Amino acid sequence: MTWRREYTHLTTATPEAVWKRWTTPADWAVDDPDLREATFPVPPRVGAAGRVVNHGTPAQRFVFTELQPGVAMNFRIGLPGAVLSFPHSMRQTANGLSVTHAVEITGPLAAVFGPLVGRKIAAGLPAVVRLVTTNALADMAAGE
Amino acid sequence: MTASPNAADRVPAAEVDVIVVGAGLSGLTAAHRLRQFGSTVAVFEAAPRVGGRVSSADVDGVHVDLGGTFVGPGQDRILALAEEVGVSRYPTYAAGRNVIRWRGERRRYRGTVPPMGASLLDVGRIQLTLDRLARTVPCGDPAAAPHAAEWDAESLGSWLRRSRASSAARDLIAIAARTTWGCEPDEISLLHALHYIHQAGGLSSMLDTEGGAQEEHFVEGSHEIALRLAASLGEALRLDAPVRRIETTEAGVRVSTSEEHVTARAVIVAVPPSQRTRIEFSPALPPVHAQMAQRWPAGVLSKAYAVYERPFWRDHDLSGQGLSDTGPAFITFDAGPAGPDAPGVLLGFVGGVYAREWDGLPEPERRARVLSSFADLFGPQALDAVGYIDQRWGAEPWVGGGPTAAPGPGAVVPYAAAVSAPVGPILWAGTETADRWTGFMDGAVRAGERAALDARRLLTSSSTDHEQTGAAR
Repeated sequence: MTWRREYTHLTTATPEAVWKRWTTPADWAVDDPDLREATFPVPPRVGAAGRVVNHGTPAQRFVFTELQPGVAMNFRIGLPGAVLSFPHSMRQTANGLSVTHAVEITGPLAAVFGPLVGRKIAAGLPAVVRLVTTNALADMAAGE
Repeated sequence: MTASPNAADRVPAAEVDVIVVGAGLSGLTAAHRLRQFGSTVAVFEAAPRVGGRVSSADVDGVHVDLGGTFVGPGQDRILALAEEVGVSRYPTYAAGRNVIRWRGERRRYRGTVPPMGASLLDVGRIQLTLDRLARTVPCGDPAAAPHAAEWDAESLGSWLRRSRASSAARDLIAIAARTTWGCEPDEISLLHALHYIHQAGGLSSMLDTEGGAQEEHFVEGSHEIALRLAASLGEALRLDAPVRRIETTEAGVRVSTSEEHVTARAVIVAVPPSQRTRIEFSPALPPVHAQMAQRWPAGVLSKAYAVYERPFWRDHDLSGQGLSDTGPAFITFDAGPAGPDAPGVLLGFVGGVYAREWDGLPEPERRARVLSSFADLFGPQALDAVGYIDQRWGAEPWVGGGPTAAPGPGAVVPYAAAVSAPVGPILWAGTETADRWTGFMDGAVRAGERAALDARRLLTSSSTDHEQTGAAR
């Protein structure tokens, strides 16, 4: 059983600038209004663990499961009877860079955690993608 | 002889019956009617173009309205004015199904009610309640509503929470708020929202396409109405002429730009309330007027148009009308010209919180994001636009935002009267001063016509005063 929601939009930001936002711990809390803090080793590696703290909730441990520079990034958080994943991907199109953030829940209790946990996260995806790309553009303008 | 620092001081003051400040639809209508009454006018417009909050552009050979676009039943004054100047209209394309992107899913539906399952009941409850409360707010005098102070003390957003509105109802009302006032529900006075709804004949009348305020648009464009009124004014219209000062004199008013002084018996100031602060009044306006101008800011609403070789959505039985809870374009319309072989045009609104971020982006990024929104609703073909243009009303220097003023909590009861109350020979126009369809083009025309009548009365009464004074001598 898989429960999945995603949000995609086009941007003129470069893959490098978006990748930098995805792999810099300090940028995560800037790009995600729900997040208070993120820590993980830089540069991140598949299998490396990190920690995220949402506002008003306990810290959660996560593990990177995919890191393809300029293409895709994913990490997962374990839930009882389910796995919560955050697939990020980007691809160049004729109309610009297409950036997708998704929330995916797999496992026997995915149907339970989808409405309980996934829906709220999914509602925040558009704002996060907009902030990631807006801040990537700002980084580009600043020459970072 | 000492050279004057002001070019205006080097020429003698001209004299007319009435001066109009602002050549938007309201000011132009006022000037037009006054001339029909036989009065002489001078019209000063700060911008290099006429129209104010109506404007137009040509995109890949297709005409688009960048500002006020739609008209509907009950908007008698704009319809009459358009007919008078020979601008015709055609129905907004509404055949086929509408689309909603909601909670991560895309759905198609017919009619005006989106498919929201059980939430629909709550949406209906909120709409009925707002309509019921709105009917108790007297048009043109919101402070006289039975619960005026209580309703003005909170925002539309806080009322929604207090009324235990579902998240679907809150999000739908947020879409309506962004489109209508260019702001979030938390930013606008509940009393103002109710007054506005009543003035527009209810939420359905305000928001619907068929039978509502989006039912038709103009073949030649709404801006053409302003252009034709302006053409008839000839040299009485001055563009690029910001009014710096309005001085009340014994005989009436003296209005000054950097280039000239003009005297008149009355002045009609037809600019958005927040822009009134850019004019120096002598003597100063009563404090409540200056305070109102600070507390009635314009909303933030932008529009984006994408032009396609053909309206591909119609091939899929889609109307082009879409709603989205993600933005940046959160509501769309088919704004294509009439005709079987006409190109396709999608219009998207970007307002409130979305506009504040989107407005600051470079044009290629704004385009990419709007086309993404369109593709979310109508599929990947929406990315293949052959033309694109957007208009950020919040970036317009002499308008300051759009589509209309959005007073916050506490700003209506003490200040609503100052929006339209004359100060001696100083009269006010602009859509915010209308007692029906405020915020719409119809409100602008109504307000201009009312101000013209008020000015005419002032001219008549002052003529009578002069005659009586003369007779007494």
